[in-house]
Amino acid sequence: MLELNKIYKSYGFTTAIDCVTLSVGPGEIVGLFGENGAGKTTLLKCALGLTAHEGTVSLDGEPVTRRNIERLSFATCEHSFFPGLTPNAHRDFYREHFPKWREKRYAALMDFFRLPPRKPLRSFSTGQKNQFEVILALSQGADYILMDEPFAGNDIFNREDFYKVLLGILEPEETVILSTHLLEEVENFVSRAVLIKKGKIVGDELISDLEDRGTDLMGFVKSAYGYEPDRVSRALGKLTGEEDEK
Amino acid sequence: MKKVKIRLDRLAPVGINAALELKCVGAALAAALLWGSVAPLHIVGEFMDFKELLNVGVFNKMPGFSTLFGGALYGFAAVITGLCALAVWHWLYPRLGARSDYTLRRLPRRSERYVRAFAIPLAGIVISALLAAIVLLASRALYTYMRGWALRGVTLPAGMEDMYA
Repeated sequence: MLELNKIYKSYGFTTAIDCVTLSVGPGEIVGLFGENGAGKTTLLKCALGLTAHEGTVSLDGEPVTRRNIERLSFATCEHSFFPGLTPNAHRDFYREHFPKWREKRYAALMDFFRLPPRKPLRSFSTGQKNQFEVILALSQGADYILMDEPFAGNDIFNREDFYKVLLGILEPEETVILSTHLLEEVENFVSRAVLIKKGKIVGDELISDLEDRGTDLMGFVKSAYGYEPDRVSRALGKLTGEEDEK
Repeated sequence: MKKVKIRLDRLAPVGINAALELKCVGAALAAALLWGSVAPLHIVGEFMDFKELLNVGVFNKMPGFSTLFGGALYGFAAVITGLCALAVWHWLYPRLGARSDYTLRRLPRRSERYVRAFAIPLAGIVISALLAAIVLLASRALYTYMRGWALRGVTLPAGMEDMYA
């Protein structure tokens, strides 16, 4: 169980994360949703200890330290790989540092995405870089895989392929926390939706519960965010009215 | 006894050729040492001239150590400044082009990130400081010896003993 307890983070006078408490159990695939600047990335970074914060993060009751940090992996749209290294060199580096490195999974994913193993990452396209970033996170051998907008820049076919592969390869105890804007795409992939707004969790639902209530992920997000369906028509009406007056 | 094998590739940021960097640092240290070794030669040359003049009865002011030593340590100072800049560059390198510092910060081996950033610059700074100290002490010892050598067998006129004390 990954537990974030009363996480608080501010940048100067701006509160990025405001007393967030969240527990994610083994085997869950959690979608972390929210508008730009809501605090999704900051929350993931707090969980990984990549940014200083108040509150505690624990893994099965133990604080996250060097002894258990290998149980967390991270794929980010900022890319955490080494641009000057080839995929093969990354494999060697990860194999050396992460004892539970999944060689078979790595080879299968490299093969699936047809990534060149001997070209430095800096020569890859953005889509290929994203793919490789996710491959590393999935192959590290972590129990909790945190992904922050991992498919930004990938085309739709690529993303669909990835969701399918991901669902196929994940083992029952592996947990994924996926921060993304692509709500409709991941609706059939995630088992739980967590909504974050202005640094606070404003919604946390199982997809199965949403289905039981006859609503979909988009509807849930819109209602939790207080989305006004007539906002666009009102704005257009105003604009048109103004133009008429002129 | 267990043999400790140092892997060169782990002494520099991931993606940087550590062997090449070590060669460059070595060359810079050699150049600084060469620059520093001019001071002892200068000391010897000056005292030989001084002795020659004493022998013909010209009693010049004895050359001071700081004047003769001059900028012998400038080379080392330049190398140390360069190595400090190298340390900063190594520290920032994982943030260039990507955020590989996130990966380094997630490694179970805590020291990895620091060793890769600071091993070569720190070793270079220590070696540079040691070489600078050796050049300084050796020059000082040579100066003391040459001073004694220059005055040996010279009869100073009355009242000039204080000048060469």
